[in-house]
Amino acid sequence: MRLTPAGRRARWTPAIRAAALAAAAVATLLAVASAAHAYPRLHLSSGSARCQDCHLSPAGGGLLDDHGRFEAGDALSRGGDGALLHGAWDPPPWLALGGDLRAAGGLKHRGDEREGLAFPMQAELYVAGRGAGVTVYLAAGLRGGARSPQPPLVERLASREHYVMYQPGARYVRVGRFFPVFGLRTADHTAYVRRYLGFGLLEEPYGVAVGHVGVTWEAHLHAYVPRPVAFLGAGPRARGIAAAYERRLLDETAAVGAHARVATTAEDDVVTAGVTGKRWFADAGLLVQAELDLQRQRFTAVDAARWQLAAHASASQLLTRGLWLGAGLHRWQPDLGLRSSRDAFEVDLQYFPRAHLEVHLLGRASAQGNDLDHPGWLALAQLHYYL
Amino acid sequence: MTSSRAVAPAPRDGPSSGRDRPGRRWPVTVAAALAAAACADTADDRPARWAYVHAAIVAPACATAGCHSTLAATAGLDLSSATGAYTFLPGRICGEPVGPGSPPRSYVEPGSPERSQLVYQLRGAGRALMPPDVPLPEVEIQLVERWIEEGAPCD
Repeated sequence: MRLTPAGRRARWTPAIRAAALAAAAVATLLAVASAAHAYPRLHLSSGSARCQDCHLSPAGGGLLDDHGRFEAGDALSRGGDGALLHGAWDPPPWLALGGDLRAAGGLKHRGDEREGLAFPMQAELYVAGRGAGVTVYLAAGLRGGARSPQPPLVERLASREHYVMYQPGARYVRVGRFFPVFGLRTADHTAYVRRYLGFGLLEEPYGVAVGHVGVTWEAHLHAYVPRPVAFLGAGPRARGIAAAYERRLLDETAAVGAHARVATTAEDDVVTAGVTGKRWFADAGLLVQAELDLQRQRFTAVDAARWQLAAHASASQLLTRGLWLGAGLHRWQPDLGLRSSRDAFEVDLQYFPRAHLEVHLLGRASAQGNDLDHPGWLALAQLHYYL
Repeated sequence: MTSSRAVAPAPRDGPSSGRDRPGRRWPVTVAAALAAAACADTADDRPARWAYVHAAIVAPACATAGCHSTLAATAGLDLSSATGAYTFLPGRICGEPVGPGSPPRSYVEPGSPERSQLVYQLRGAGRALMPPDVPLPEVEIQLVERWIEEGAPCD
């Protein structure tokens, strides 16, 4: 996404550049939609052991803080100024602004069916006010989708996250709409450990969370309810409690975690427990990470229950500054008592040519019920710009 | 148009089939379940009842926030509640007899999986695949077929 042709950039004043970028952001916002999480492969490998080293949210994702913006240009991409609007305008210290704009295109192939995809993936703006340990945060955008027809613009307005947080030090209290800290929290909402465990698009619940984000460990406890008012967004149907714990080891080159959740709806009760592990091999430039979740779903209206399993494992190789090559496995078993597994293998290339820019290429083969001879294929290219 | 797969009801147990054993043996159950995960191929003893089909299949696979939820209601379908989804799929009001004022059947023809549009969509057979990104596991589709074959009751 070239916003300013290189040859003309020198003639643009900072004010014009800021206005142009803002206009482009708003224009795209009016056309698009959807979601953002953190990049777990940047955890540990970037030298940052806590999501909150770079993000305002304890869970990561969304707005970057000053350190995160500096790292985005200085260490994680091929260069550039990671500050808001490329440094064209510095907001006052109490104000943080940002946004994510994402477009995607690709091909899907399963059996005799082929489908081309080209769609706006995300258009969100973020604003946060900070002072005296209090953060007031709002993310707003339009619901998007890969397929037509889309509803009218006014019906697509959504705010995935809005909360008030008090964090005078390592401990925090957060109230509003946001996901619990749970698992690896990959940016890919189609990852099986997200989509099948209730962390899909727009499924952020309303709740209250407390936590401790320390040097060597962090812990989070989150109680949540379904959306209280329909127009506030889709959200999940369940109410529940989620807890997560992570400990950093080996001079912050490794982390292990555990998480659990109890959730209930009018139709079922679900108990989920899982573990995560990460290891960054600095000499090899290799990050490996994994998550394993076991879930029991009990149906309240019928005398039945089932065990489910979700798992993810991946390895990411830092080829050179700003360029990652990754490979990962996904597994989902909706009922461990039946042959009903879904597996996927993927390869991805993530490139940050400059601060604010990202190109992501993904290839994924997925198979049902151990039928590895007839996989479905997906090739997806994403272009991402953040303010 | 015929179904891409013959409907073959699987053997099943009654409601007290032992699938739901609360108690203190859950660590053993977990270990056994994990050990069997890679090679599980047991008979499908799940109840072909709407309460199960909706909670186990329709709600998690179709009523996701961005698709057939209350807010998004893609294609005009809100499948988030069991009673609401039932009205859309067989075109009946749950708990009420079929009458002149009943909504027209469109997605499910009770007793006839081979004439139910829902089955074709779940298989992507001549219709747009649903869910559109990846199909449901075959055993889930077979359970939906079994529920339809048994008259698609709202129980």
